[in-house]
Amino acid sequence: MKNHSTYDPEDIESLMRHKEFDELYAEEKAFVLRHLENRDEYESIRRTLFEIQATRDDEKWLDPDPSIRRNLMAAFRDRPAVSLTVWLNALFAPAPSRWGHFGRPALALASVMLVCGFLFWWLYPRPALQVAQRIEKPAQQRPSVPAGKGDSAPVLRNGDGSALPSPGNARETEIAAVRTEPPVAEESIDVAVAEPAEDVSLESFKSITLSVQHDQGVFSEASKSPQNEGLSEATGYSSDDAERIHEGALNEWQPVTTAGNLFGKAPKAEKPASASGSVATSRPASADKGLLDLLYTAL
Amino acid sequence: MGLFRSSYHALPDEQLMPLVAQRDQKAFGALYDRYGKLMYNYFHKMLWQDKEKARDFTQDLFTKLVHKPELYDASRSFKTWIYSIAHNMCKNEYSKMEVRRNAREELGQRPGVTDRDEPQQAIDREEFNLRLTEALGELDEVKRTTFELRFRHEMSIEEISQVMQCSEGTVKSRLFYTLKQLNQRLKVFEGIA
Repeated sequence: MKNHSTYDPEDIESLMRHKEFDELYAEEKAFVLRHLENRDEYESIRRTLFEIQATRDDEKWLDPDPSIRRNLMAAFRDRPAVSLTVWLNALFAPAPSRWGHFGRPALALASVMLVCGFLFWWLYPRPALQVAQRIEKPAQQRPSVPAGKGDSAPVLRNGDGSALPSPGNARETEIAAVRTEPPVAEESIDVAVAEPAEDVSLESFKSITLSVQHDQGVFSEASKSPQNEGLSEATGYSSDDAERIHEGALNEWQPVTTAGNLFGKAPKAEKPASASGSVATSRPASADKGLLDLLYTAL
Repeated sequence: MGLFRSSYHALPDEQLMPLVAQRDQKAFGALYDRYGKLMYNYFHKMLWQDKEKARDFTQDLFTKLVHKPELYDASRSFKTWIYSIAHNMCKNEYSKMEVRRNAREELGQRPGVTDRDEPQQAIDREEFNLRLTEALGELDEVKRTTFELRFRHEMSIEEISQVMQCSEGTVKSRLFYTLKQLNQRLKVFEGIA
């Protein structure tokens, strides 16, 4: 037997169950005699202990009245709704005892919700996350345009989706006009630009020039507005550039300019859009340097 | 689920209780078959061998189980849990009886303690049992409960500590002093076993 170095007084019962007083070690005897008077008391209590244990074997256990079971079964059938708490507790009943705190209803409910959420996320069919969509368009022939600042300038738009006036936008407008077929001479002055350089007439070129002058004025004003701060930085053009281009165009074409279509009358803004809509004459076609180069080339 | 129903008696208590909460009558019947008799005898011993009280208390205990199964904490042993409830019910009854006893004494009545003649020298085990029962009745309820759980219901020290919500050392100490006290009362019966 293990040699105890220390004992608790309550361990005497264990000693009594297994050993007589004479079989105790010296340390055990010393321990027993601290709580009992002598050997006889130890042996007396030990006999009583065995007698009590023997009585249990002979003791008749009473059978409860069968009516108790009947009453309880009737009460069980008539009881109210199922308790959610114990159902939740049952979730973690097979878990190790150290997980016992999961049996608490709040944690059990949270765990169930977490599992359900995960399963929903895992099983629910959902469309693939699409950041962008590539749309195939037939290749279109674009006129050869000399490289300029407008080639790399981004297209800026207002909050309502309309493009801000910029050299780049103006260039896009002109290119769109090139693609429009057939041109309507009295409705869109830009249509004339779509014709090959050899066929450009002087009349249509003058109209183009007037449009450019007008649009340059609009762009100049717009680029000076506070809400377009930074526009110059973004596009690479400043308002000074626009005015300089504008004045240059005026000086270049002043002798052939006809009255009634200059500076602020903005006749094109009141025009309805063309059938194709691509000739957006109300949009400011700013004086793009590239466009001027194109015009020079055409001439 | 049909397979489960045929083996209710093989399921542990802790798995039967959730089924009881789900209105499974057979699970409840299995639990009653396991603990009904134990509880009835426990109440009978602890409540002065009063069969009527034992009957009422047993029914009350299982009625609580029927109507409030959520009181069961799944992290605990069902056995210690149901014995804890029984122990608390007995404690409440002791308190009520104490009030009544004090009232009787104030009215000049003596408490119902039976004076018995000195036991004969030639006795049998039945007489010993009777005297043991009387001796236990003279113990305070804490020692009597400890003794009942240990020697009649054969619970471990750990289980008793959980039922009575005390340390294992306290349980052992109570058992030792209970034995010592019973030995003084039953010394005349030495050697009958």
